[in-house]
Amino acid sequence: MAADTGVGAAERVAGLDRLELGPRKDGGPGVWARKLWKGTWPKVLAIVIVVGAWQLVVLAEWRPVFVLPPPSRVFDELVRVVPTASFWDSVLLTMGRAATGFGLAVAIGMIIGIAVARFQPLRAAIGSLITGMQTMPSIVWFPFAILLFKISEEAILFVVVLGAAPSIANGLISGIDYVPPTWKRVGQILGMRGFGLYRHLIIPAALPSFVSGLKQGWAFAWRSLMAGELLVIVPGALSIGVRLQTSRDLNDAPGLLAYVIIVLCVGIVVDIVFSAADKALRRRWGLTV
Amino acid sequence: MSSRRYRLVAVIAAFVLAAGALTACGGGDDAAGSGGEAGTLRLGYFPNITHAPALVGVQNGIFAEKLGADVKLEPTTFNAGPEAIEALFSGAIDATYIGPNPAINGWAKSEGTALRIIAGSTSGGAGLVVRDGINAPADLKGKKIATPQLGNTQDVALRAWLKTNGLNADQQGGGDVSILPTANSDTVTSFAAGDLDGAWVPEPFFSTLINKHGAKVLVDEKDLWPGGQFVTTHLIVRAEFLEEHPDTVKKLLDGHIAAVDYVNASPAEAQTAANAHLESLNGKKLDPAIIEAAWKNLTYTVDPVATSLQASAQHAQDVGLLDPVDLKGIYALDLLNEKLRALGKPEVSAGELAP
Repeated sequence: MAADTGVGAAERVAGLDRLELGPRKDGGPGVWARKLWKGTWPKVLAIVIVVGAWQLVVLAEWRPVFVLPPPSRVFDELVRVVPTASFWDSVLLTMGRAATGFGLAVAIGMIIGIAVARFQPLRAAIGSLITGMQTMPSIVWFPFAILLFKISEEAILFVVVLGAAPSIANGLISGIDYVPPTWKRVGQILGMRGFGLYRHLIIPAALPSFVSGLKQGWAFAWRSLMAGELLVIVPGALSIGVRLQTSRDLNDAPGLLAYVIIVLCVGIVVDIVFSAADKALRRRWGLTV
Repeated sequence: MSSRRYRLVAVIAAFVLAAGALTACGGGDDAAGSGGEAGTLRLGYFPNITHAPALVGVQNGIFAEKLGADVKLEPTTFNAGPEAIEALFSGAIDATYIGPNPAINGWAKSEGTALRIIAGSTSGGAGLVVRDGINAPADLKGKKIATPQLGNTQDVALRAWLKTNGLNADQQGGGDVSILPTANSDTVTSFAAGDLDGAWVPEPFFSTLINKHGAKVLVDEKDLWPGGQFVTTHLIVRAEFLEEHPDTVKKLLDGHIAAVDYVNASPAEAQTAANAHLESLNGKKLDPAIIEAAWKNLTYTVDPVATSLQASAQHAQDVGLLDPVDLKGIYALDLLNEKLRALGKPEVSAGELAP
């Protein structure tokens, strides 16, 4: 309670949800360490369980070790590969492709989303088409993309954008649909028109749904990219997907699993970024502490 | 609340472990048989003329006859060696005709536990063909050359040859020369369409590119080896299969020896049979003239030309596709020699690689 005394009245009444909260405890390194432990142990346990189960399957000799290597072998491979400069070049290349594709998809998805949300005939025409596109496995586009753009960066980019843009557009459309009409009226009263209305009212109001659309869009973009890097091997471009394929060609099981783990790690890191954005947003909306 | 969470975690952990244990018990579903005899023999080979003993052996029922009524033959085809090794590793096939480099790689990756070479099959029959205007290694700068698959025998041969000629090529198609691993049938169409400048391929694609699409020979691999003898194809088996079913492997060797003899004794009939089998696999017959031309570049022999294997491994190491590996013990030629002795034929030797 001692900590509360220094807080101003405005802070104390901000959000009635505070009534639901327990009394704030004293801070300090002990609490901080306990908090860190609390956040970490489930993850550590999850890793221990997965690695343990993996090791058990290996010990049971279900498959020979050169097909299913033990975790230690894969870990050695990771230790060997990750510190090399060429590995980080590959990560940079793959993440560069992901960022370009996702960026383009965001731009295109936003334009389409706003257009569809705003113009009724357009919604009738392509609203369900967008949902249809969203459910389409992006890998089916690759043969056509290769025909259009040959074996090139553009072919990969094309499919990544096609995979991600519909989710982003859909997220924005449903976000806009759920903006309370009273807010729009308030905006009009305050003199907001056209671009200003979108910039200051509708987009911020649609943010929660938009962010989850972005998150889903990212997942689709990342999947399409990995499929693309395995299928469309651009000469000279040593991406993560190409490294995976090379491990396959050289019958290198530890290498294969090492790259699977790396792809998983990239997914987790990006998810952390999105979660942070989501958390910041919820905090702004007063939905969390 | 937290005890509930513990319980949830415990349940999940138990589930994961149980699933792991179950799958662990579900293995060992290999074709069962009694007394060293397998119920089925799953044999891999490629639709290439370098695998002619396999093509003819399957087409004319030579394997089926030697394996007898108790062992069913299940043939499977692959485009190139790394795919076949993948299948062998995963237990999808028991034996396969294959080139030296994938076999070496499979041996290295499994630390000598996955496979054994039990007989030779073919020597010669591969090389680099290019389009007009390329007359020397230096002319290859900036050109696109196809190979069957990264790390396969012809791929390693091309990389090693480029290196000795002072040209570099990386594993992703970059460098002085762009190496593009391509399925052999696509290589022919791409070359015809002008998307490729050349290819290091096995027969019959070597002869097809020359006879049908105006390619010319820049390197005949024969010229790179002492005596013109180098292993292009040999027969390998899964080590486990050899251990469990030696009788079936003996029968496979009977079939293999008979097929090689047939191919050598009656080349005209063998060519017709090989072509008929290619047609049944691809739905398309090759021009008999191409098969005849390809035949001239090949020697069919059960001798595995062991001397060239070590050199092939050295090539793969030189181009960074293989870590140094000890090949001692990769050959298991006892069964073959037993058969050859019984037939009154000269025995073959693993040379320095004998176990």
